[in-house]
Amino acid sequence: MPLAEHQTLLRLDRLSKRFGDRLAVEDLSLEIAPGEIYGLIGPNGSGKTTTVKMITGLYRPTTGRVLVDGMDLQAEPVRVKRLLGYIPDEPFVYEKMTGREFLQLVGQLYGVFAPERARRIEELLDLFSLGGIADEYAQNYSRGNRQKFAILASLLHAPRLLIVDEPVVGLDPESIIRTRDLLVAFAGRGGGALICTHTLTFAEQVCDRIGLLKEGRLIREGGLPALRAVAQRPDASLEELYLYFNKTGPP
Amino acid sequence: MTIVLALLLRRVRALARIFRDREGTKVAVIGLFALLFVLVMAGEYLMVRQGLAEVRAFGGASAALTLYILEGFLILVLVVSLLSFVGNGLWTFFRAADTAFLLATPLPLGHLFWLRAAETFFLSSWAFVILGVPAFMALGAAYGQGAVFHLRALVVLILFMALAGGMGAVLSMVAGAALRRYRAGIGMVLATVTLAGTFAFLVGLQIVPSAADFYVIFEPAILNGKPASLKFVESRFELWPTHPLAVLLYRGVSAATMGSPALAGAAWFLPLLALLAAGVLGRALFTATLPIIAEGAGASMRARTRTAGGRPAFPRLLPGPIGALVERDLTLLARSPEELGRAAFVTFLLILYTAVLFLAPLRQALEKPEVAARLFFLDLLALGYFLTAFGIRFVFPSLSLEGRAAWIVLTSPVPVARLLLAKVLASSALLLLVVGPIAGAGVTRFVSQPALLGLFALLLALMTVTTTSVALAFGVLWPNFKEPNADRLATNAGGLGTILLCLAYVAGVAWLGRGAVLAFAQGESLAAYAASALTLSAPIIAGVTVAAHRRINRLEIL
Repeated sequence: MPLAEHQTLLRLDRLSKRFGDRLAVEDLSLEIAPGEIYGLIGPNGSGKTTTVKMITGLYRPTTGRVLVDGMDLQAEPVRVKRLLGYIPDEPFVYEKMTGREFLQLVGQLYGVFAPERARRIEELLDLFSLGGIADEYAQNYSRGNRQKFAILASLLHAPRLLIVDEPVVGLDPESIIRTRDLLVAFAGRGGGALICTHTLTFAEQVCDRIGLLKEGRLIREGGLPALRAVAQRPDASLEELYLYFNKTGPP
Repeated sequence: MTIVLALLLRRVRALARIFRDREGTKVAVIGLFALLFVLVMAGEYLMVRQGLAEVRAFGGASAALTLYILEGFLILVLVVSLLSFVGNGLWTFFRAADTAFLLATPLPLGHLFWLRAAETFFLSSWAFVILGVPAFMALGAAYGQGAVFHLRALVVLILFMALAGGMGAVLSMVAGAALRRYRAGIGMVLATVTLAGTFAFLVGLQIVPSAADFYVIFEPAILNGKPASLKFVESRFELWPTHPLAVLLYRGVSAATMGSPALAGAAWFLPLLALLAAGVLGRALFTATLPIIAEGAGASMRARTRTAGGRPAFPRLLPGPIGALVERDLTLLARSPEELGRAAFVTFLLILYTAVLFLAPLRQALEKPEVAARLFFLDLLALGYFLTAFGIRFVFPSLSLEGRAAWIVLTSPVPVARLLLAKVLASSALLLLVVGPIAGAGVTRFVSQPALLGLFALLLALMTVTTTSVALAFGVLWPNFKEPNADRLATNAGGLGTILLCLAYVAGVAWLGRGAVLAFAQGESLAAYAASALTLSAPIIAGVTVAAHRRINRLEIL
């Protein structure tokens, strides 16, 4: 059942994206409420990253709308983007900038005032114990450390909605736990999050609802108990449910 | 060495694949660039041939003048190619993207040296092709020479390339070894500035002729009807390694007996010596230096990100989100040795050009308004060319170079159209700051009246803003976020369009400048010329800005 307008932080309204002859995302509709973490899973090429890029404004939908807090992304991109935090699947940053400079730049882009910015950066660096490398050029960072800086950058301006593409790839186990706690705490404060991932154990731990994409279409959606009930497998893990629904296809 | 040849062949095959697979756009762009180069070479050929034919008509002074021009020309090409070699070499030999990969393969370091030498030579040999070939052909044509001369010229060109290649490799290795402990950016800037300064000093001291030199060349013919002595020219250039080659070439067009057998031998010996020095000294320095630099590249590089007062050191200069992005561009440029090296090279050429203006004896020629107008035209044309060169290399790729980090800006709440406007303003301001003083100093050689200087400042400012706007807009219209190399980015259809539009526009402005100088000499007002320049520039700026604005709002990072 659709959420009421005031209850919706993110609404994708019949979103489609076509690249030439190929339909990457087809008629996708979903909603995320404040305080909710939504996991979008699916095989490679199912349209997860394309969906994320449409929500963040990197792609323009062929048809359909992206509404954030009731505002249309196409009509009000600047206001919508202020509410978003984005963690990309490949955390490319500027090689010749330090992590601290990168965070300063991102904070400035989102209009965080200098004293607040400095305070937030120190707080965030402590979360992943990055203070020791924050003044080194990003070219020296491992993939995991780049990912951590991308995660911190997405949180710097206190967004209302996090869009996360593969949050924990390359992270060490301790950082995965930190990230999980961060996301749960973020939702606890009323924020919403859309997470695309292949790490199903992580999705199982943090997501309130799961959507399964296949060939650009949302073939299943619901909380873990609901999905188990549909599959008639009360003890199934998300991994087992993923394999099951991927095989059986849409209802 | 088989592996080295195989790697070189792979690079050639990558180019051949474009034609084999009939990649229409790329083939068209390569074809148009080739056509542009051919046109430049043809223009140079015609100008040099005409110039040398006129020099021939000077009678007694013509032999000495021709030799002087040849000597000076070869030195100029040598200087340009050495600077280009060292600028490219410090990067290609020690910091190319595939260095780590190749170091991990069983390829011996000595073989890697030859691979890098070949790659760098290929990147730096443009001066021989674009400057050398047309000039040599023009020399033969001006003196009515046939196939034998052209064969001789070809041999001289090959010897010259060997000489410059060997010297360039040794210089690059000496610079690399001497600066191995420095950060890449500092090392590259130090090497380029030191070399450019040394060359500029030597060229200014020895090559650019003074009024006294002209007296030595012209007086014997005027006073006694005798030809000027070639000894004077020979002694002036005898210490330059290009001197034996200049003499060898000159003997192909002149019946004059000059140069000893030892000098003729030196024309062959010096290039061989340069190659030998590259193979022994250069290779030894390379094998000793590369592991140190490669290891250093993996070490931590830190920046001062806090001021003494504890305040963040970035962003510090410019306010607001747009200011932060402009400051980011400046910071990344300042930290990129490759980009700085390129900027320093183009700036050096501009300084060299201005130095020639200062040292050339122009005073008497300027008594005629037509000559002053022609020089004003050529000066604006040259400055427009430099602005286009800066634009195509540094402004055109600026959006594409956001690359895979483009998500940072494009997902932020910063209006990208405002960012583009800021980039135009910042790039124009920076260019005016660099080019303005140098160009302003140079133009005082042909005009001194405040009104004409004011018009020159206006034309220069208009050319800067227009070429920058065109370069940025075409970069937006033809983006490529997957290509991290600015040189390659500049060779797509957009780059070619930028060059053609900018050069056509610059020619228009320069022609207006010429007309203004002539009108001023007749006591007419310059207002109409200033208005015409504004009328020419405004639609171009507006047109490309609107096109870029429309495109940026539909841009997708694929």
